[in-house]
Parts: sequence; structure tokens; C-alpha cells
Amino acid sequence: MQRFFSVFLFSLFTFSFLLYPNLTFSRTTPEDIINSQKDSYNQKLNNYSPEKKQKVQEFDKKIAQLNKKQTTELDAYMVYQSQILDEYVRRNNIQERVSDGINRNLEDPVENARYWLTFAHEAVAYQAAKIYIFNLSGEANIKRDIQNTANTLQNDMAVLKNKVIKSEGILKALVSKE
Amino acid sequence: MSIKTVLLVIIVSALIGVAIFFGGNAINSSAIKNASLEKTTPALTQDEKTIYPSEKPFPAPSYPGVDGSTDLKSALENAGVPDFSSDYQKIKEEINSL
Repeated sequence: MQRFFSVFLFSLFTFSFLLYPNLTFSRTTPEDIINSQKDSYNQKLNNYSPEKKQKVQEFDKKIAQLNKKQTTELDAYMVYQSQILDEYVRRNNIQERVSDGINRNLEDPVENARYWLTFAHEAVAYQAAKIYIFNLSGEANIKRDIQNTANTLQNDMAVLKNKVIKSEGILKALVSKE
Repeated sequence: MSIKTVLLVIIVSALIGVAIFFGGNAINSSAIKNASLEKTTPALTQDEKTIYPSEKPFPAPSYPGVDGSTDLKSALENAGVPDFSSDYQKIKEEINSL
């Protein structure tokens, strides 16, 4: 009898604890992650001295501002690239195939250029929406923590620039045929 | 262990199990309600609005117009991908001065 109850209890606990993490983790959204990081950041920051807290907040704004400035510039450049492609299409009387969003023909040089241009432009929009939250490791380490976030932004921007450069290269090869 | 104790343990664990199950559901329901595509990119706070007073606070670089008379390849080469190295140079100097 006691063995039966032990098995029953074990099953009951296992069932409960198996259900809970499945439900939680399968529905975690990017917003949940950002909110959790922000909560942790705010909690840690509240324990900092007013002077250090102000410094961290200043750099928090500066990093966001830098991301905004650079993505705005890259966005303008992507718009410029699309103007050049449109002009190339107009000058050469090219009838672009209307894409159904599923099938694509990257053998076609214009469609290929349009595809990579859109790809890079969307990457710029994604980068513009990114939020950088400092991973604070202690009041004594604020310089290193801020530096790490600045490096992350710089690396993200380098990856993004490579996508923009790829789009530019494909477009340049296309318009060189003119 | 008496039967009474065993029964008590079963009832308590059943209650805990039910509480965890419904608690988990409640947490996730509110997470689903709050989660939407728009909210993935949080709206600007009042503080951020002060930094970005308008939608386009930074002047877009001026590129030569594509007016139909420009050589497209040169137009593309003249514009070029923006260089951000000075931005990082500046912020790293500021961080180092902390």
C-alpha cells in the first residue's frame, strides 16, 4: 500500500513539474527577455551610488543614440541604392517580375540585386529596433561593462555593414553593365 | 506512517500540483495577452523622446540625386557605405575617461 502511495506521489510531482517549464519556456517572447534583462539591470543599478548610476544612464542613452544615428545613415544609403536600381530598370526598360514572395529567380540579375537590397534594408531595420542593455557586474566594473556593450554594438554594426556592402557590390556589378 | 498522514500528504501535494498547473497557465495567459509584434519594439519612453525629439533627429547624408543624367556606377561609388569608425573612437575615449 505504501509503495503504491509513493509511486502515486512521485507521479503527481513529476507531472506538475514537467508541465510548468514546458508551458513557460515555449511561450517566452523577445519582449519577455528584454523585460527580464531590464528588470535585472534596474535592480542592480538601484544599488549603485548616484554618481555611478548617472554615468551608466548617460552611456545607456549614448549607445542607443549611436545605434539610432548609424542605422539612420545606413537606411538612407539603402534608400539611395534602391533609387539607383530603379533608375537602372527605368533606363533599360526592364519589366521586373512581380514576386509572389515564395518563388524567386536569383539568376535574373535585377531580381538578384533587388533581393539582396531588400535583405540588407530589412537587416538595417532589425538593427534599428535593437535595444542594448548593460550587463552590470558591479559598481567597480562600470567601465568594463559599458565597454563590452559598446563592443557588442560595434560588432553588430560591422556585421550589418557587410550586408550593406554585399548589396552594394551586387548593384555595382549590375549597373557596370550599362 | 499512518494512513491518515499518507492521505494528508496526498491531498497537500495534489493541491500544490493543481496550484502549479493553474499558476503556470495564468502566468502564460498574461504573457500572451501582453505579447504582440508591436510590443517587441517598445515605444519610446518620455526620456528617450527627449533625446529623439523628432522621428528623424539625425540629418540624412545628402547623396547626389539620381536624375537620369548621372552615371549610376559613379553615383554609387561617390556615395559609399558610411564610415562609423570616428563614432567608436569618440565613445571609447569617453569610456576611457570614466
